Amino acid sequence: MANISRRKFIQMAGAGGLLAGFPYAASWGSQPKARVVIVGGGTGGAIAARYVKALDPSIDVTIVEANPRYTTCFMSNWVLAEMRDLDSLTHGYENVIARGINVIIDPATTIDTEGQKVLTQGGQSIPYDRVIVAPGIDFQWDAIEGYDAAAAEIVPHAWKAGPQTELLQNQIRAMDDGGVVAIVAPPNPFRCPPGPYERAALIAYYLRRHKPKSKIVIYDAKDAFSKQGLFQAGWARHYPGMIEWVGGFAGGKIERVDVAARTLYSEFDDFEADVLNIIPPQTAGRVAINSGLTDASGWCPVDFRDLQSTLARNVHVIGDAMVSSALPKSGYIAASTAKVAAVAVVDHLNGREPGTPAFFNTCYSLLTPQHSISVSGVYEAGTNAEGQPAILPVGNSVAVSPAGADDSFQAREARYAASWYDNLVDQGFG
Amino acid sequence: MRKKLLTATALTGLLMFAPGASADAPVSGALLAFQCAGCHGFNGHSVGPATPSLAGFPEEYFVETMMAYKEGTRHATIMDRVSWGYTREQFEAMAEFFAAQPYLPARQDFDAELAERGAAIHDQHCNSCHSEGGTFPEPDTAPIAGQWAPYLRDSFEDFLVHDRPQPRGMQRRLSALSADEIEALVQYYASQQDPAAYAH
Ligand SMILES: Cc1cc2nc3c(=O)[nH]c(=O)nc-3n(C[C@H](O)[C@H](O)[C@H](O)COP(=O)(O)OP(=O)(O)OC[C@H]3O[C@@H](n4cnc5c(N)ncnc54)[C@H](O)[C@@H]3O)c2cc1C
Ligand code: HEC
Ligand code: HEC
Repeated sequence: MANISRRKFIQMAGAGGLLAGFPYAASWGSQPKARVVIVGGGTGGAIAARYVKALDPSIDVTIVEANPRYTTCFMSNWVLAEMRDLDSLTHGYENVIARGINVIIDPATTIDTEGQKVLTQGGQSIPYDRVIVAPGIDFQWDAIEGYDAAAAEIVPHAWKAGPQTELLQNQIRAMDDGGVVAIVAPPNPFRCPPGPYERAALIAYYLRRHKPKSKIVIYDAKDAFSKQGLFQAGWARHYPGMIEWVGGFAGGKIERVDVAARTLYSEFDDFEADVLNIIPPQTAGRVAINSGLTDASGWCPVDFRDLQSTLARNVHVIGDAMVSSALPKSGYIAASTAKVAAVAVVDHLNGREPGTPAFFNTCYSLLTPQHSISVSGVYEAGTNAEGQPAILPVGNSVAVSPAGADDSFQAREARYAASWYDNLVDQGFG
Repeated sequence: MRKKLLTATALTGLLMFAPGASADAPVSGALLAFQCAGCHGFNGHSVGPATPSLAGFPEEYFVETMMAYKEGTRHATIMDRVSWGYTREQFEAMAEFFAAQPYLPARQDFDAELAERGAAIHDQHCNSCHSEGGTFPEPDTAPIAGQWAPYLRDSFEDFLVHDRPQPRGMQRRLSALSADEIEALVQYYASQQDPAAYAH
């Protein structure tokens, strides 16, 4: 599914105006001012492309993306609650192309940061003046012994949306009433800190209606999690007795899995379940690792002022692949960093000093279709107490929904969550 | 910080790149405003019916609204928290950006019959302050025509139930209207979808 054949690609290129790639410069009448290549056309990449093009139309912008269509992870938990289907979360590149952005569907293998070109699986070599790297995450296979790419075909992670989400949904639908769904939540840092806990609530929403005797257990490597108080209050209110959370301190850290026996092993204990969902520890997308853009943490260090890599020149990294900081790995932050990088890239290419950056995060999590909770926060680049460059929250702006919110407030937040989705996606794909 | 970076660079044997941003300069109003687009739409043109468009908002209304959120005088689910992250000067910088964007009425379904009724109610009670059928960007209000209907319903609830501040003259007129009359007004505002009507 990831790769389309060469012939199909050329057909698409002809029909949809996709760029056939090589020889690169031949497609343009006049020499472009500069070439910006974006590796990964997901949330961050598509939005960065739109902003670069909008800020300076004379720059030639090309997205190199592995898949012909992008399915958002955000709202994929809503699918498990049967509130949305995956089609409604899947977006093509027609509108991106219509804005004059080139889209090459061909996975990037490496970024040659010395030669300033992106190399692809299909054998293309795409030169750039600046590259924005936005490949999202990859998994640390075997960090949980027995959980590798092959095991994920049996026990889904569903942490990249699409077939993995369907696999999880089908297993939950096939489960008998009274069964146990076990979710293994990863250590920090990982994509979407509230995601596993929203997932528990929305699976519970499905189970409550269809298999009310069932249970969900979350085995967690951590001792605490995002929006914890609000989640636990919401679980208790809407799904009493149904969701159990086993924190790291209580033996929740899973070290090994036997996928055939659907059994999890912690240091001292083993747990069986009817449906397993393992969200493994993560790193920056493989292409970033292969291109020497990651440090020992597995993520890409950047100068927080303009998101340039500290390991290579003319390279900016945005979204989940960025080094861990106060910024969560969320869709909104992918968008936020896309804009900071787009402005900085356009400034650099026009010989201007980039200005001061500004970051913003929000994330809505659903407990039921009528009850949403949110977190929001404004961040800036600065220096921490140890004198190191850091991302800092501004004042008391990082805050969650009030605990005492009434039903009408919670229902409004659920409606705002849906509009958040529409606008977030529209920035890149609209 | 600069020195730290240099050391790190020397260690990895890489060249130093062009100097980065100067952290002391104020953030541009445009970049600040871009950060709002995930809920209010690209350049303030919301495509989500529950969150309002901000494009074309008069600067005065925009800044006063953000200050009201910051001071806690206007009901909010999230904008109070958002406003805590900024200064008045930053609101002024964002205001300039949004005011410079063209106002685009939302494309949405409406009930033509109700809209006609709403037009009459508007003319009688509301047009004195929300002139030209609510399309005009009065300095102290946003255009209300062309805004998303679900957002307008929330706004009316804010005025009627959550004590959102409003001029006495508006409160008197609004609180005298029935739920049906208010819905007719919502339909009227939603029906005004010709962008030309907003070119003042
Ligand atoms: C279940 C779940 C729920 C979530 N809910 C929320 C939420 O409510 N709110 C929120 O803000 N965030 C949420 N997130 C997080 C959000 O999905 C991510 O943070 C966001 O997608 C990150 O964007 P990105 O651009 O960095 O990466 P991605 O969106 O993953 O995009 C990466 C793109 O790069 C492409 N790519 C990767 N490698 C290559 C290569 N070698 N060559 C070419 N292309 C490549 C991929 O195909 C993909 O299109 C959720 C995540 C999950 C899993
Ligand atoms: C997470 C979504 C979200 C983000 C991000 C967000 N807003 Fe809002 N905005 C809302 C919602 C929801 C409302 C309705 C009030 C409420 O419930 O808080 C609103 C209302 C407003 C209003 C009132 C509009 C009117 O017609 O009076 C203004 C002005 C506004 N926002 C400005 C901003 C600015 C400026 C930013 C960026 C700094 C921003 N918003 C970021 C969700 C958001
Ligand atoms: C005396 C002048 C006045 C009258 C009369 C008046 N309004 Fe208003 N209206 C205002 C002002 C001023 C505001 C801005 C309030 C604020 O600062 O938040 C406002 C705000 C609004 C808003 C919110 C806009 C937004 O973007 O959030 C709506 C909706 C509205 N009025 C509808 C009406 C309707 C309907 C009527 C008639 C029944 C009416 N108004 C009559 C002055 C008036």
